Amino acid sequence: MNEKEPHFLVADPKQQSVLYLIGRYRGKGSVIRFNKRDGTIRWHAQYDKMSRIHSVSQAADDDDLFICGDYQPNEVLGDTAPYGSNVNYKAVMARMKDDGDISWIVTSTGKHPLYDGTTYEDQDKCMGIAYYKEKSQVAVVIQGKMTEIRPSYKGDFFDTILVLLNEGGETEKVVVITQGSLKYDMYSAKNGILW
Amino acid sequence: MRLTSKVQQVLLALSLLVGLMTPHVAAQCEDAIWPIYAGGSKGSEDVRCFVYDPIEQLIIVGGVTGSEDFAPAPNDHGYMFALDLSGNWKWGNFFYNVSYAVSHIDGCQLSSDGSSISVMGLGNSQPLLMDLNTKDGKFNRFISLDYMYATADEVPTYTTFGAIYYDKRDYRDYQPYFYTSFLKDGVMFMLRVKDESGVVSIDWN
Repeated sequence: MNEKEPHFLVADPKQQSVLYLIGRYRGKGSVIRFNKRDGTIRWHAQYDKMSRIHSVSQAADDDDLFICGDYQPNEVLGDTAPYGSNVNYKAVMARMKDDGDISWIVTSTGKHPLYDGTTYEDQDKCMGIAYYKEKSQVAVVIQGKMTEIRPSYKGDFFDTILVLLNEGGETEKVVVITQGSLKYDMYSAKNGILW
Repeated sequence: MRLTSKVQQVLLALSLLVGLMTPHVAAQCEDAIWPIYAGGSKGSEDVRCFVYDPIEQLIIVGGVTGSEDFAPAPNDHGYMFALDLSGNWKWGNFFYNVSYAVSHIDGCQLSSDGSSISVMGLGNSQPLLMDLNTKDGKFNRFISLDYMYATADEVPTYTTFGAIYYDKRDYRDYQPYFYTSFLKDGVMFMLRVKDESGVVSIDWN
């Protein structure tokens, strides 16, 4: 488990001397805060329950980072690439402070429409998160397979699921976008949502 | 004379009709309907860059395509395009150096002052740092990171995920710096590239 995926370099809106490097390090979702002057690391936060980070959002003049990604619990047991329909993913969203403390972390997953525990596993990934400070809301896009919210034509296909959270990470609203009777996957882009 | 007059009247009526319709057609173009589709018939497009530019009020999208009826050739090409908030196409580009295409756009972010977009990708299998005008998609900066010890037997493998930040005015020396991170032969690198008056140098890594 030594996978590394440096996805994002983002500024601290309140401190010009540091940057965040966000992605995957040592196989776990990681946020590294470092000095711009010489690259020295101030702190490194590592998520045991988030394998990858696909999105980050900040508000202007705010301390907090909102991040989201996925947790792949069976990766250490051999669920490695290429990733098929039998690999389990859970969508994960989190809020953290600029000192590395995590305010909350939420896991969101549904049951695969064809779930049998061997050929088909639950597969949900958070691909985008956007924080709207003035409205105290967080918008999330999940690429998932959830029988609970796909109304019909259930199958082994990714849908796009939009979730509205409050600042505390509680769900306020969920909307699912499916292809109806068309049988193909919808993939979401990383950081693929904005207000 | 009478026939000529009739023809003139018809032409006048047609010209008036066209004249009246033109703004209407233009207005219809302003009311583009979401969703917008961009790509080739193979649907072989990945989106890896998605940002909103509040100054120009544009949604900017980038990624990789392998569709021969979208890209100029059937191999991997990085692409970028911009839409306004109504979904109207503002600009779209593929990128070429003299001898190779930018094969991947892996990530992007607005620069520190928000006036341009910094883009990370791959070209000729080497990491690229780019800065583009958000208004028209044209290059401001194009930097290719070449491994100085590469030989015919030792060619490093780079993997990029899109980590880039372009600070146009450093808080200490007021100089512009690119920050980036990528993998070289599976090892993660973080580095700062100084971009002073067109002279590029790696400041630290």
